[in-house]
Amino acid sequence: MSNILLEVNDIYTYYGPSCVIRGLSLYVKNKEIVALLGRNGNGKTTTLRSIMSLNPPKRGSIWFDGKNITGLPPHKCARLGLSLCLEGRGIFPGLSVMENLRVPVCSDNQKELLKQVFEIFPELESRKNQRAGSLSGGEQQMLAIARSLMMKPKLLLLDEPMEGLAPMICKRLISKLREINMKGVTILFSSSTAKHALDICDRVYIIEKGKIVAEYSKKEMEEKSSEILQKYLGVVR
Amino acid sequence: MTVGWELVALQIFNGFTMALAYTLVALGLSTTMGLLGIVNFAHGALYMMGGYFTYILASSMGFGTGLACATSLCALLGIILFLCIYKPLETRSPIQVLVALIGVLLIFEQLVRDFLGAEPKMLQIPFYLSGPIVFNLLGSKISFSKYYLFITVVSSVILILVYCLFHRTNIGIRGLASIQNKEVASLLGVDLTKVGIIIFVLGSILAGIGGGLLGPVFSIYPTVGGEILGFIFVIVIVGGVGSLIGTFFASLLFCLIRSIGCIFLSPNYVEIIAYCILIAIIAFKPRGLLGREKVLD
Repeated sequence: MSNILLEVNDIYTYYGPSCVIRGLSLYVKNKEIVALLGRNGNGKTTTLRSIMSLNPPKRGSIWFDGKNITGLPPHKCARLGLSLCLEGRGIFPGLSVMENLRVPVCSDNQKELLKQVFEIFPELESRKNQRAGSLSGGEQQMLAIARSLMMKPKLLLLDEPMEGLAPMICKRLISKLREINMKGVTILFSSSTAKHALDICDRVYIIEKGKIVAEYSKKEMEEKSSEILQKYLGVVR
Repeated sequence: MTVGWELVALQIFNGFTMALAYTLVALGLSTTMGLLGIVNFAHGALYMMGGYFTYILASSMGFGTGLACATSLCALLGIILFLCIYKPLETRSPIQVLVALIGVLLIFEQLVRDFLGAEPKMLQIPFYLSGPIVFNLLGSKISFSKYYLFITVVSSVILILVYCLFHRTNIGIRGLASIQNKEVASLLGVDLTKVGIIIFVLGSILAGIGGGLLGPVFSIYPTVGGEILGFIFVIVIVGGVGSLIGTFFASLLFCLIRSIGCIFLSPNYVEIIAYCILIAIIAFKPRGLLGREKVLD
């Protein structure tokens, strides 16, 4: 399956003595949008952090674009084309919007990349000299994603991108993610609410207690979404 | 008691000059503190070494070249400290790193005491910078120290360069980002070791040049670094950690209180009043003078 961009094989990740991820495996194909759904505290964030080596797994392996990246330092993972937007946006509040966009390291022409990013997020261009900390929650999320795009990533990892955003903003964000995906960027995102996630993704993984317990295609999700949501996420759609 | 306005003007100028020099040293502490997350006690050692290196080198190669070489040696010391002390202890608890940095300060103090003696050394001002410059201001003649004018020019140029480095270059912006959030910076491809070395080199340069510039104003002795560190730390906190403009204003406030207060009161009382004002600022503005989250403005 050469089409696979990311492959996580049987990883175990610990916080001190406690095992948080217990034998998790998943894969993401090129140009897919995949969601990692699960209740809070079941290991979604830790899975993404493990992939980027912020919390490297103690066992198992992670392959990206044909390379073993298990335990590779985060900045090296980033330079290979992996980009993670942390939960809570992780923008630099004391820097301007433009300065935030100049932080990522990329060998491509920065001016050209900025032009492309402002085409997707025109609202950021008009606020480029504004302090990032003074942006609204939705704008901060857009900035975090725009900043990731400044690295020209092959795979964009998003941790709870819709968390705390108003429904209108979520819809806008989803359309932006679709646009980014159409430009060839693969997306893996985590979410504890399925409402918006199911509208956009090609496949869904359900995570429970640090393990993938189910995997559904878009078609399967459409057919039995209520049943799945109630069983794994405790919600009725 | 009548005080001539010429004296007040002179003291304001002196206070302004000292504020710029202290801002240099405080900014170095502020950047390394931002990266470490703790007080960088080694900064005091680098300030002291800047003074001693300038003292030794200026006698053979002249003040200007001696100061430049002393600053380069401090930058080298900064790299060594980063690679040999901070980097190996990076994953340890902050208190362990703090103890190691206090150890560095004490080791340097002891080494200097053993090799150069404990008695204070006075750095000589070169002849072309000694003496006063007389200005005619509103019909009155005011004489400013040439050397203080030199400190003002050099410090201002360096502060402008530091500001441009942090806001006009990618590497500077990446440094600022790392000071704010190391984890996110690394996720954006920033190599924290490289950025750490750059920030330590910059901090060491600022400490070294501060030590060299202030050497002829105050004497140089083994514990001078530890003594100045307390004062500089207060400036950093009052100005707001990582704030260039806040650091400058805190430094200016403190230095003006000191220099103008000395006209009317004994220096001891002036120190007490100055610290009381600074404590009040911290009490009412816990995030520093500017009162908002800023990193090097």
